[in-house]
Order: sequence, then C-alpha cells, then structure tokens
Amino acid sequence: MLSQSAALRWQHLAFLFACQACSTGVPAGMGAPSGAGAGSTGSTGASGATGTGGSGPSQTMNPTAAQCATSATIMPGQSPVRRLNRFEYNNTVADLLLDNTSPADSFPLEEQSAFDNDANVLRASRQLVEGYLGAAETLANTALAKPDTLPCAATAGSADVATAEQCAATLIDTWGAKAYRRTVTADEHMRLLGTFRSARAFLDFKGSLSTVLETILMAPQFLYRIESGSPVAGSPGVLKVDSWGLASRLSYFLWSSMPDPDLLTAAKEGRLTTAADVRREAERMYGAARSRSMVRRFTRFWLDLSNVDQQGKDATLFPDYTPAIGSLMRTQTETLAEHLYFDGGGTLGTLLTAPYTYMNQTLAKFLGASGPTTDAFEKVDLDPTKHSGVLTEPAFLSYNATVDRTHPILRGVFVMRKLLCNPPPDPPPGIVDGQGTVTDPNATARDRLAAHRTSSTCNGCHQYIDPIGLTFENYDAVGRWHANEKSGAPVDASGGLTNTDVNGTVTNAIELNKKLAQSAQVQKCVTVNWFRYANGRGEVQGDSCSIARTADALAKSGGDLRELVLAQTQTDAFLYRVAPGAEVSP
Amino acid sequence: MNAESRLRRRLLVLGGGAAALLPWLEVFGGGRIKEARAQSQTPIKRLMVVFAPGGVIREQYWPTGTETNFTMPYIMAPLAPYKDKLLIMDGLSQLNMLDGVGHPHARGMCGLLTGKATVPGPFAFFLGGSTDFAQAASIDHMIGNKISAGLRFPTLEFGVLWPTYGTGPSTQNTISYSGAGMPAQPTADPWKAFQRVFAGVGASATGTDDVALRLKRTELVLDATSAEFNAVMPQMGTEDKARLQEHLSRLAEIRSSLTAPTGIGPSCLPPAGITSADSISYSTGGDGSHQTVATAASNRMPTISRQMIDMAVMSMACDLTRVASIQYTDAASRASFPWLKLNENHHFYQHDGGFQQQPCADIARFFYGEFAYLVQRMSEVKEGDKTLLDSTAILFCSEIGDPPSHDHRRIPFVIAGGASGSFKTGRFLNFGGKAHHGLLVSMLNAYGLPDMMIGDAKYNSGPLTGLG
Repeated sequence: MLSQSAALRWQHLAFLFACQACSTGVPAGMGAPSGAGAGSTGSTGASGATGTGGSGPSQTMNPTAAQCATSATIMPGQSPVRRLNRFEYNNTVADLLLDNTSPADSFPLEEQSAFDNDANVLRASRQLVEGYLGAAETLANTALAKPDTLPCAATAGSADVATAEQCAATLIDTWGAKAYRRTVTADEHMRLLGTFRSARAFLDFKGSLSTVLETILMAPQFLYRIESGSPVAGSPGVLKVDSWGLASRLSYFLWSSMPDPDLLTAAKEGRLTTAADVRREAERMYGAARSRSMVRRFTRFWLDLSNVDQQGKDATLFPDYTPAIGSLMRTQTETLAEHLYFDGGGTLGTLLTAPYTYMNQTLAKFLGASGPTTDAFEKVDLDPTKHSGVLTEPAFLSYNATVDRTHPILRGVFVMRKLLCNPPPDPPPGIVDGQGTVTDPNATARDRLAAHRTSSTCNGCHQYIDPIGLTFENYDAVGRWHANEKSGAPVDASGGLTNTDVNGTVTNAIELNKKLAQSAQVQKCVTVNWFRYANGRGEVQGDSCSIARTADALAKSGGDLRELVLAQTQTDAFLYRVAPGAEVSP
Repeated sequence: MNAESRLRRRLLVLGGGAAALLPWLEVFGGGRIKEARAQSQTPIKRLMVVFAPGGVIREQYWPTGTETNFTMPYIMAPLAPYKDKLLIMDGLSQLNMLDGVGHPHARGMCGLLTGKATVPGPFAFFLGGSTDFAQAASIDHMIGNKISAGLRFPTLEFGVLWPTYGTGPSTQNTISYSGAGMPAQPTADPWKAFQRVFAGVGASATGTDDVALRLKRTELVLDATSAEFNAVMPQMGTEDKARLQEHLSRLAEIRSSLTAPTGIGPSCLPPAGITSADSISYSTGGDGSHQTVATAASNRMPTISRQMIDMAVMSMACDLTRVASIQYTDAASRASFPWLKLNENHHFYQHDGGFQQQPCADIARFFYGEFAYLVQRMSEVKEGDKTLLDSTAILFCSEIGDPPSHDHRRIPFVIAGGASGSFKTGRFLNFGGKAHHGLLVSMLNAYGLPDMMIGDAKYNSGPLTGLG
C-alpha cells in the first residue's frame, strides 16, 4: 500500500539520519566536496526541502557527473501520478475554459512539504472530492452557457438523435482532448457518449452536454497527470515519456498549467520527443512572462517565505512593523530573484551577494533606505558592506528571529537546511527552543549561546550551527542593520563554516555570503531544491545522476540561474518514467 | 437560554434559500428525507473530541481531592456545574512522544488519537526534524466508521481558526486521520461548514422535480467518473493505484451520502444565523500562495467557536454523524486572544516570548469555558427522556501536558457525558503515568471495537480499568 511503502522510504532515511549525528565530527553527507558535482549533499529522499540527510560517502550512491556521463542506464527515479494542486487547477480551468473564477480557492487546504506540488503528499480527501464535484458542475454549466463553447448549433438539440449525438461526440473529442491534454481514446469516447445518452433520458440537450463536460472535469485523466510511454532498450522497467506527457511535464513545471496550443501542436506533430525538443520548448516557455511566477513561487517555498506576513513583532521595539511590511519583505526577495533569473545573466552567486535589492517606498522607509517614491518596487543600490543578496534581506532575517531579538540558531539551521542541504538532527530529548537561562538584559546573542560551547552535548551540533547564525548579528529581529549592541559595544558578527567545501572563519554575513556563493555544495543544494519543484516530488536514490548532471550544468555555466531551471528538463527524471509494476521496493 | 431560542429552526427551502447554497449541495434532500433514528435495541452511542493546544498550567488545572470529592481549580472551573457528568483523568502520558522524530508539538499531535510515534517525513516544523503524517487511523475515525455507518458523514471535523501556522494539513496541526497517512482536515470556515453539513436538512419532505433531476445528474456523474477511475487503474503502478483507489472510495462515500437519511425529529434544528459573512477565505492568492488568514481572524474566535459548537451539536441531533471533533487552532498556535487582552499569539505566551503563566492559564480557561458551553448545549438537547450528553462521550484533550516544557506527561484528558453508560462520571482518577494508549483502547472498546490494536504496541497494555 502507498502509505506503507512511503513509510518504508522514510525509515530508510531515518537510518541515514542516524549516521549523521553532529557530535561524530563529520556528519555523513557533509564531507567537503572536492569539485563541481562531487558534493554529496542531499542526494536522497526528502520531498521536503528541509528534511534530507546526507546520503553517505559511497561513490555508487553519489556518483560524479563524469561517472554518470559514462553510464548508459536510464534512471528515472520515481514517477508518482501527479494530482493538480489548487493553484494548478485554477490555472488549468482558466486556460481550458477561460474561466477565471478560481474555483479551487474554495477547496480544502492541501498537504504540502516544502513545495506545494509534492505528488507524494497530496491526498484526495472527501472534502476535496466534494470540492471537485461542486466546481465541475458550475464550470460545465457556465461554459455551456457561452455560445462559443457549444460545439454545434444550439438547434442540434431539437433535431434528430443522430445530429444531437454528433454534437456530443464533437464536444468529447475537442474539449475532452484539451482537458485530458492528449487525444481521447476510442474507449473514452464511447464511455462519455454513453453518459450523454444516459443523461438525455432525463435532461435536456444542453444539460446532457453539461453532464458530459462535468464528467470530464471529474475524471482522473483531467485531475491527475497520467502518463504513457514506450520501453527503452537496455533499461528494463523504464518508459520514455510520450510527447503528451512531456508537454504536460514542461507546462506544469514552468507555468503551473496545461500545455499551451504550441506545445500541444508540437506533441501532436511529433516535434516533442527528444531531449533537444524538450529543451527548445523549455527555452521558448522560459521567455514568456508566465514563467516569472514560477521563480517567485520557487523562491517563496525554497526560502520558506510563505508565512513572513504572519509573523508578529514586538510593538514597543518595532512600532512601525505591520503584517503589511512582512508582505513587502517577501515581495522584495521574490522580486530580486525574479530579476536575477530573467533580466539577463543572473547567477546563483549574485543571488547570494548582490549589493542591491528591490523596494517600494513603504519598505524603503521602514528599512531606512532612500530612493523609491511610489508603491512600485524598483532597484535600489545598497551599501555593499551591509547588503549582499537574499540572506541579508529582512524576509529571511526577520522570519528567522523572535518577536524582539535575533535568533542565530534559526538562522544557522536555515542555512544548513536550505543552502547546504545538511540539516542538523533533532535536538536531544527534553531540549526545547527557548530563551535559555541568561538574565543579563544586555547579554548579546553570543553571550546567551555560551552554554553551547561548554557543553559537549550541545556543541556536537552547535559548533556548526551557531558560527553560521552569529554572522547575521548585524541584522535585528526585523532585518534592519545595526552596528552596536544594546550595551553600545560594537556587534561581533564573526563566525564561520565547518564541514563544507568552503570552510573558514568570517567576520560577518557579507563574508559568509561570499563563501556560500563560491560553494559547489550550495550549487548542488539549490539544484536539489529545483529538482524537487521541477519533478513535483522529493529525490530518491535513483536520481543521483539526474541531480549530478544538473549540478554540473549549473557549474559549467558559471552558476547561470536560467541554466539552473532549463537543465532540470534534461534529466532522466524529467524525460523518462518508471514503468507501472517496475517500482523498486524501497 | 434554552435550545429553541438559541437555535431557531431553519428551513432550507429550496428555491428561496438555494441561491446562497453551493449549487451541488442542493441535491441533498431531494425528496428522500427520512426519519433516521435507529429503533435498535442497543442504545445509541456518540463520540465528540475537543482539542485545544498547548497543555495546561498544572497547578491551576488539575483537581485535588478524592475520586468523588474534589475541587476544580481556575482553568477547569467553568466546567464545575457539570461536575457529575465528568470523568477527569490525571496521570496519563503520551509515551509515544519519547520516540520518533521531530518537534514535540508534532510528536504530540501525531500520537494524540493514534498512539503512534512520528516517523521521518517531509514536514519540517521549527527546529525539529521532518516528520510524516501519522501512519494509522485515529480513534475518532475508527469509531466513526463503525457507529456512523449509513449516515451522511462517518465523522465531522470542525476547526476554530485552523490552521494558524503553515499552509495546509501537516504533522503539527492534524489530530484526526481517516487512515495511515490520510489527514482529516477540519473545516474552519463556518459558512462552508454550515452549507456542507446541513444541506437539505429540514427541506420539505417531497422535494421538487428539479432537485430530483439534479440528484440524478449528480449520481450519473459520480458513476461515470468512477468508471473512468476504474478504466485507468490497470495502467497504474502499486502506489499510484492506492492513490486513485483513495479518490475512488471518496466518490463512493459521496454518492451514498447524497441519499443518506437525516433526522427530522423535534431536536434537529440547524443553527440559525450563519451566513456568507461568516466565511473565512483561503485564497490561493493568485500566485499560489496559500494565505494563512486564520490568524487575522483571531478576534472572531469566540463567535466562531459558538458557531462550530452549535453545528457539531446539531450534526448529532440531526443524526448526520455520530462522531464529531472540534479543534481549536493548532499546536504552536499563532492565534491571539484580544478579548482577553492578550494581543500576542498563543505560542508567544507558551515560550516564544518567554513562558508567561497567567496568560497561558487565561487562554486555557477560555477553552474550558467553551467546553462548558458545549456540555451545556448537549445537555439541553432532549432525546426522549434522555439528552444528547447522555448518549455521548466528549473527550477533551491537548497535545502536550504543560506549555513551556512541551512535556508528554499528565496530558489533560477529560470525558464529559457517559456514552450511554460506557463511562462512569462524577469522578477524578489518577493513573500515575500510564500510557494514554489505555484510554484509546478503552474508547474503542466502549464503541464496540473490542479487538482493535492502537498505536505503538510497546505502550499498549490494554484498556484502562475503572472507567466504566
């Protein structure tokens, strides 16, 4: 059963976690990568971006790009059937039926790991299926009330049976094909025509057509992405995804919606079969405005920005902070990312070091910056000794803080999870994130963490966490830069990285970001996160070559963000699938 | 106030009232309203679960005294008028929280009604490791599948400001599971809940031709849809088959619910006054962001609480289900309590802002005031010479025992009502640190599930003695 094997997969991970106790010195998977593509971070299993452990040192588990290049075996990893999520459903009915009512907004909230398109956690609850039923009826009735949706003259209903059924057949073949994102099979056609006939026994002509369209919108062929493919010589148990499937994979990855007419035409005409075909279409689609929201969404999920506007801050210390400011903070980071991915030549390094950002007037005022004079976000150059990329922006800094003070542990763990793909394990039992026992009101964060350095139990992990988190001490609980502690003493933001490929001490976050920007481990970690988003699932062991090749493509491009996205469409995971019945038992 | 003045009878007359309904819900009650009350020899038993997060302040909560002669301190005081209807159980631990992975909040939520330790999975929460959904059904669903068989809903989940953290069901906000890895999400929108639960209840006994036709159409669509699922099934791998099978079984559930009988006895009075203005919107935000709007609605918590309680009570009175839960917010709640002059969020007072005892106690006492209202409502609804409270056990619970430490010991468990004689009330018991698995087993047994395993076997040593 699904849940059982899913649980087994995670038990496998639990074993990997156990290998990863910080106190053993070098956590598994944290070994310093010696070159591009050799990093061993995160190449197994977590569908959530935050849960993955390292995968151990074995070369077979962590092949290099060079080793992968010589391997002829196709390894598609895992190919779960993907249900449209709420966002994809809304976009799809907008494209399919020109219906912009966003009916999925009334569906129940969905299960999501770090990313909201994780096929392995999306379930079909009773309330969701009730939501589908309500939406499908309304959508069908609305669509058929529009004259141009009716595939024939309205008078066909009052004509003879053959004429009426001809109209239904046309509806099935045209709307069915669009909804199913492929041609409708003869069996499907006959079943839907049968539904039309059954409906005709007690409903009028239009009502019967609507019943057929409603059924199409309730069908698994619409709500799920069901893929076909052809066997691959030399790779038993693997299917090459057919053109229709590839069109949908591209479209739901880049646009979170059904394929556009160009894509469907390419699939129909056999111009969407090779990796080069997929790349060509991906480049075309990447150039369209619709792809921009993909980058914003990815950034939001990857950097855990969804709830920044839900955070509260101490009203005495930060009287000008409001949830609206939190929302602007998120927009800021998403806008910087969008700019770097799309407006020419942005690199991962720039994302982590850019001495500029985007603000509008309100946010600039809150942060003490000048420039913008309207509500529109515009580029603002900042002091490069205080600002370098997304990790010096208030969305990350304030969300990883308490209501009134910095939180170096949250910030350090964030970097280990999201940038290095090497999260520390759970704190020992009985330890709850709290305020500690330091009572001196002038104590610095560094003072408060002193116990971590003297206790060997704590130090096992905090020797890695705290020196990262403390480099952000120049940024307060709302992300504003400050030079001095409450006591008036200058902020000590020194720290460093251990057990990474860019080890060493730094004096502040600016230097930390420089190191992260040069890290192959970070490149690979961001690649892994894009892999999860692009494929709508967490990575499994069989994906190691897909990830290694993508990380290699990113490295060879000099960290080009556009390449980071496009390379995701060239992997075994993206182009192939596991044949039904050939799933590897975890 | 009595039931009649609070819960004015509301007839959902098709036509006039229909415009406000979600269209497909109009098919309910298409001339098929029947008297549902089973004329069975065995007494009806019902179950409610009421969850409030964050534990309690122990010295302001737990009674002192003997089994039958005890005081009820500050937090529990609102329930004092119903002392003889309560079975208060001190000394039960969520021992499963000692195992597994993840944040204590996630461990506590996961195991509360399943008895299961967490397993690694994709849901990260604060600084804890990532966990998966509980790998078992919760007792409310196990019981609901049995005692609500043939009714419109096997169980109903009502949420009061849910979720306040995160974006959908996750390990730290879910206590009910319809199966392993299948979270049962509470409905937190009062208007949506009202429409869904009470559609067609109280409609005229004959229905209209139009509604009858629409019902027929909906049944046809569900049948045709099921045929499509069955048609694609052979090309699915094992895991995908299970996914689609789950979907298929939901279609079947919905189809049978369309014509499930609903009670029309004199006590079935759908709550009045819940309108579209009470809606809480969970928009996808255009760019797919799932806004957690629940926190913004904090000041509405008292109103929503009463609406949810009224609906839960009437879902029982109308025999739409025999198992319902009401979940107040979620673990590490971000909801604030402005009417208590507590403007920071719940978790802030627990420890984000440093543990603050009196605010935590005041919040817990608010929840117990709501519990008391629920008990009152249940005791006001007559069933012959008995009340709904007599036939129901209402289990109050929390995921942890104590706010700042997130301790697994002395989880607040209180049963109100006796489930038709299954539990002997008016008592305060102390189990001295036993696993709460014993309580879960006792609950299953009380509802006729004698041989069910629950939770991690090592903590399961059979039912608690002395409850009945």
